[in-house]
Amino acid sequence: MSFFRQLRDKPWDTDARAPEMIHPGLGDRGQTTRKGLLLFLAVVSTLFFMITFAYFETMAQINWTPLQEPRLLWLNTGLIILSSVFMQRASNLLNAGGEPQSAQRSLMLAGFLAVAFLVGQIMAWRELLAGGFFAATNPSVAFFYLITALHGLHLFGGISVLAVSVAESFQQKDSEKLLRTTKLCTTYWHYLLGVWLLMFGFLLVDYNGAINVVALCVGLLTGSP
Amino acid sequence: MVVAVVLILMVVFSVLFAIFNPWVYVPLAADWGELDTLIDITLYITGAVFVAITLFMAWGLIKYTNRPGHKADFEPENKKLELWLTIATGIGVIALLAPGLVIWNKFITVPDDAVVVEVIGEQWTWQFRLPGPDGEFGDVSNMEIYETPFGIDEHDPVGQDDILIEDNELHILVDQPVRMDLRSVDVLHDFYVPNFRAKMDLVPGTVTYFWITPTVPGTYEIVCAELCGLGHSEMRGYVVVDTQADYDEWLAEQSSFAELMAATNTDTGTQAAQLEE
Amino acid sequence: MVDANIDAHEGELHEPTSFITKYVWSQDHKVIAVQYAVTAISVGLVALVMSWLMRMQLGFPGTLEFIDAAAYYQYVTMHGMIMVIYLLTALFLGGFGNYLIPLMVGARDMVFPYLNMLSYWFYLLSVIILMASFFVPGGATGAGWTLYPPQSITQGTPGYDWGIILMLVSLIVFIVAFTAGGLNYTITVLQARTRGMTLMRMPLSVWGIFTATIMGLLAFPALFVGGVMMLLDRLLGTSFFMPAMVSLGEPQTYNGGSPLLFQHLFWFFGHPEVYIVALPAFGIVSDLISVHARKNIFGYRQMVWAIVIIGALSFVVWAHHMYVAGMNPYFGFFFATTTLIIALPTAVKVYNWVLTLWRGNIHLTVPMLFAIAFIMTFVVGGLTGLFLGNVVVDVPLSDTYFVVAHFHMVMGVAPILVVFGAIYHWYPKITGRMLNDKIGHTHFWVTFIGTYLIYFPMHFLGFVGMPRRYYTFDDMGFIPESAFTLNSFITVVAIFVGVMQLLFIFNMIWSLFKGKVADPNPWNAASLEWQTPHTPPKHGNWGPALPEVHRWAYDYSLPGAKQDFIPQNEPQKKGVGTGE
Repeated sequence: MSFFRQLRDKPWDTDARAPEMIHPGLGDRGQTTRKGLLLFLAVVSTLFFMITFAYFETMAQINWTPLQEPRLLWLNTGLIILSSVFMQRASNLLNAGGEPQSAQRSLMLAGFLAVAFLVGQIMAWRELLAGGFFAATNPSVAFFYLITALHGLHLFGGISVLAVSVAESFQQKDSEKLLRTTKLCTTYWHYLLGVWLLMFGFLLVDYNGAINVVALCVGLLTGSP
Repeated sequence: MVVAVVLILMVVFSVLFAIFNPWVYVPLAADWGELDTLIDITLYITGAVFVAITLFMAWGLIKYTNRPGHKADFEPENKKLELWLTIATGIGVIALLAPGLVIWNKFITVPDDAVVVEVIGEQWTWQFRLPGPDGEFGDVSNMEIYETPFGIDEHDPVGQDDILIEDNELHILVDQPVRMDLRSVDVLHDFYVPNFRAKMDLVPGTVTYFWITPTVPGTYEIVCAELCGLGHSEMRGYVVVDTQADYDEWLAEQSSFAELMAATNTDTGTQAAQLEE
Repeated sequence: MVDANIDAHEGELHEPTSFITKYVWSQDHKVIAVQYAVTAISVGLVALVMSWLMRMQLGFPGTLEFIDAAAYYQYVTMHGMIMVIYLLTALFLGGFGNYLIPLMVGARDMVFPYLNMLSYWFYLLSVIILMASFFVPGGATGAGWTLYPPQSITQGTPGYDWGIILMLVSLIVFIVAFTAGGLNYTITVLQARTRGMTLMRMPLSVWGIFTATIMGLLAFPALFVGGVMMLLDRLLGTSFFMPAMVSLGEPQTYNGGSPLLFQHLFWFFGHPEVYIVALPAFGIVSDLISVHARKNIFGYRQMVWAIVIIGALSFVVWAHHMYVAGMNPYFGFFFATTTLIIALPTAVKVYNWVLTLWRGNIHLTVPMLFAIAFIMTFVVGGLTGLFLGNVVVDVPLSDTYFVVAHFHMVMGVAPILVVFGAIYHWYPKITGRMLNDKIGHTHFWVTFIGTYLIYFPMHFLGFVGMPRRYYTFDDMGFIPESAFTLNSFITVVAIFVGVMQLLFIFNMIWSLFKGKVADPNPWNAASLEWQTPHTPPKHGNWGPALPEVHRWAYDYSLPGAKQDFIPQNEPQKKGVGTGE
């Protein structure tokens, strides 16, 4: 809101206050990196929104065959939830003023759980492939691979950053930096968890009743016959 | 100074060019004259705006060019002027948009008495299908187009009397509204006859449409207006607008699906017999 | 007093010492800017040559025998894609954005310098991948820059086998690069402005680039998704965009996909993209006019609002590229309305540029000449957009040379004129030398008049109904012979203008060594980038102390002031300006 209020300033008017009262100058580093992450999350959200749009639009086409999700996905969901829990724990510990060592265990657990999630996703893929469900088989399968791949790639990026950060924390005891990076990673983790829950939910929306409602809405919106 | 003079000359050149150039619309052969009129109106309005802004700017460049003793004004904003300019522009925009939307509404509303013609696009040729006396098209499948003529389902009774035109030249009846149903067998194409002004893409997997009422008998060129591969610029055909007598004569010469199927079977039968010998 | 407001995060202020860290793996925004600009202009020259080859086929068909239909469509596609994305977007945002933003807001560098550096190298990688597509079996894709499926990945279109894959991979890499850069440009504006620099005290160049960056961050994901899905269709046989179809006689295994889905995704990106190119040009030209007319930009607030509104509205007009695509016809009403609404803030900007000149003190320097040329050509290009935006008027004109003329005027001529003007304007800042003025004038006149002669008459070929993306017009009876004569004329002018651009390249290189040594502020400009302690600015930009800003960027010809400009970092004085 304050952004839009600033747009009404008349900058040619003289303002007799000291410059730092008018605008304080370079923002705090934690704020800066946080805003950077949030903007990046906006970009990622647009990406997943576009996929979701494409997903529902395709569902509205005539030949939609729903996919039976591998049961493994439920276990994976549990893993990624746990991973977020441990990230949050690490964040809380460091925020309360704890030493890097106190949080390292939680961070490493969070990382391993996230890796386990990715392994579980790949195992789910293998299960589908073994059952003869290739990407070209039908659109619901194709979307499954696409959505899980993009989500997994983003999580992999996060795990890499986390790994570097944890490794660094063993070498130099910069608790300020570890706190900042942990808070950012925690936000990122919770975000990807949210994306997963949403995507998983959409993938579950396969049973016929929902398809018909969705297809009707999307059909009206896009004019597909 | 020089630049101001050049700007004025460019404005004069542009106006004269617009008036005297030989590249005018091709002769109109369908009942879409209002499109030409609206384009003309848009040209006048936008032309007037272009002339006004450029000449005003040229005048400003002459009057306020840097010279000893000359100083610029200091005027950060003038909200009232901005508001009036915005309103004036808005009126201009509405003057174009309103008739445009009215005509668009006509463009997408097919009259009840329209006959239907199907246009089939394939890399890189045009074919056509008429519904025949029963007024309905038989089912087709893209995947079968090499099995039966045009891929029509041979078990569909409705398709038996469909008239199939394989030779790239469609005839339609003058003064008869016709809806063109557009179907592609492979990639995106676009059916465009410049004299009719109307066009629409062909999208594989769906059937799109537009409608016209042809008004002037004659032969008109079809050009494909959506890049469809190497043969895009050679994907041509003709639409012939006929009077009733000519149209009946042409129609009588065309084959129906049933006739073409029979001819194929006879051929196959003859071939099979020859092979056996 | 050493300013304590120095950000020592991760050592980005440690002065690089070796040649490699200073000029190659550099995290300095100024170096990265030049890297972007040189790469963009180089690949733009490749696209320029391709346009000559296309024009040869159009103006003198058959003269160059190696240009067959496949080659022609490959030139069409690569020319378009390179110019829009790899030249204009990269140059305005990666080039000008990188150079100007920290200097104009009073920062030492971008806020994420390492990411900024990565952004350039990913961009270079994307260019290399794209150029590689010329050398794979089948050559580059010839699907048109719009890459529409099904044709882009099926037989009958050049590069359907390998070229399209490299194109899509290149775009994906570019989008990663763009995101890394875009995060920098945006967050630097939000977080790294110096003391006293409010958003409304920023020059319009920053507003244009800033808004364009945010639009890009939100629009490129749509292209990313479309590109990935098309790659999967091509590589794994999925049917995201592919319906049941045959291809040159062979039934395909695709089924159920929608070509229109790709078009929605593409144009949801594609329309904002053209404003991503235009808005930085709008912002920069405002500053060029203001400085060289010694007058504040007229209606600064309205200009800012117009930029923001255009940015927002650009996301709801995309389907005006799809009026005849076969989508639900009722969409036409909505998109024609939003498209014509966007004409309003754009018109306000044009009025304000002209009103800035009015009652100004106009110095007809080379940057000013280019700015004037921009106004005139943008008016033409923008007005022809009113034809195409009005849905039913678009019906006869779409896919004709009217469209080609429109988008070249409004994207190829007008913003490029701003690029030239901007380089003439800021070259002394970047290099410490002036560009040669005589060569500049020659370059200006040839380019302005030449491009006008190329694209103004071209609109009328659209009225005739001459279709675009046509390799040949043989046997086309409805087109008069005079149209082909015009085509030949346009070709000759185009090649002449194109070759004369080498004058500009020569000027940039020659002046680097032999140009007149420049004043630190040769145009007596008020904005902050001209107030650095050194010219060219050193690493860290401001010396030991960050500047303090006391006024907006446009205090020109202030009543009561001694000089006709007051730098932004000069404190207020009684009796001068609008205050007491």
